[in-house]
Amino acid sequence: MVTINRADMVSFTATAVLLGISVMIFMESQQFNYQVNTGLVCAIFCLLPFLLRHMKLITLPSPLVLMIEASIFLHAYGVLFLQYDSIVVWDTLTHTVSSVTVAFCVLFTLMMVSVYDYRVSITPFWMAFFVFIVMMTMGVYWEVFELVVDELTGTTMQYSPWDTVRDLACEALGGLLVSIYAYFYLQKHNGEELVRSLELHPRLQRFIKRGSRRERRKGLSQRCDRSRGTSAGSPPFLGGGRRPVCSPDHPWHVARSSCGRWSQHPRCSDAT
Amino acid sequence: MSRHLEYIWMCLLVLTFVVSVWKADWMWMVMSTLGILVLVLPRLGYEGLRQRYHARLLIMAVIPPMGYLLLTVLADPLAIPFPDLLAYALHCGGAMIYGYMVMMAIDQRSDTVLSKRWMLLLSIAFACAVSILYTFFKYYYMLTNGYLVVNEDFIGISPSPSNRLLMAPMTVTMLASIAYAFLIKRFLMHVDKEHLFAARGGA
Repeated sequence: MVTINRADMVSFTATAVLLGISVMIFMESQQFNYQVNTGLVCAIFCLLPFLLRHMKLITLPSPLVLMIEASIFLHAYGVLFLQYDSIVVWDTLTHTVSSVTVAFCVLFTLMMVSVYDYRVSITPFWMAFFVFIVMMTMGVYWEVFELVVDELTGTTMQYSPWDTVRDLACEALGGLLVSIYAYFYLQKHNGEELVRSLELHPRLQRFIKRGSRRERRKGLSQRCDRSRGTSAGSPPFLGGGRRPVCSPDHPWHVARSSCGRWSQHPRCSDAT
Repeated sequence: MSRHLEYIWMCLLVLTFVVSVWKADWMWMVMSTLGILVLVLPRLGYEGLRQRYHARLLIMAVIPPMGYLLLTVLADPLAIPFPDLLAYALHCGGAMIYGYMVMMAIDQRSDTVLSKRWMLLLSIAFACAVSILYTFFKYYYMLTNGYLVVNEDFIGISPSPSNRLLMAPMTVTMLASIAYAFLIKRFLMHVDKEHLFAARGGA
């Protein structure tokens, strides 16, 4: 039985509104033009947080769901009612809001990696730095995507070089804001509780945890990496509390069993 | 071997810096400065006095500045096609490998611990972030050289040629960084993370 929470209601409302507007524009123009297609795709994307939760892949926190819905809705509204053309700052607004949303998604992803992958542990300062550079990468990929769509379909997602540079500046601003927030948030909170509350699917947890093929073959993926950051007096950063302790009698130092599986170290196993 | 490679790398970086100043190529100036900073990274701190980069890393680090210098000298005499795109690809290679070295330094010198896979992924992100800086320089170049750049310039004209010119560094970086990541992964496959910083005197 699927429970419907307030964030889901927001998702459904956004989807219904966008579908309604798209249908109205379709009836007016009698064709699937760029506006109608964008409206329909955005309406489907508005359901994404609900679907992810329903499929038990991940439960996104309500504020993030609201931000995702706001980002998608603002973009779709801008396309459907031509706000991008009539309001000069609409593009700046949507890019900044979207970049903040994407930067939060990046932050959550890195926090999950830091918690579930025992080989990775990130301190607040470097978490902020990584969020910023990964956000910039997302910006690059998005702008290249816009260029490719323009070249292939003849649309004008990129109005001019000035527009592109302004978009990149907005993305940098959004990334910077979230980086600063992440730095101060992780200074005060461990973040592990937040990551556990996301209820990531066990398969995804295993995907994050698993090492490369070579590491698995050589048995290095569960090797003690470094002695610092052990559970005794663990540092206040993510993943630090589960850093394996190097000792000769550590279970990971013994050879792999005949079944090819490694036994989990009790100190480092996740509460899945 | 590492010691000789370090000297070669340092000479190439200084030469690249001089050539980029002479050509007013600001991004390669930034890149060679970054290279020099990355070169001295293992020497910073008390532990670093005994460390230098693994020879394989140094071989990869030498290629971008050498390629840039060769391209500068040979592009016109040999009529090399698309020299700009090649320069962007070399720039991306430099940013990737320096990014990887920065990630190694973060892993070694701070409480942050990264796996090799994450160091590679974050070096892609580093290269993409540097390409944005390149794009800003490119925009300034276009603005000061009479290219059409603002919305009002494109009434009745397609903005595609200007956009293509501006987006070239980012597009090349996006594609080349994936290829470089594959190459770096293959090249460093048999080098353990702990051995990426080799003890001084060793390979």
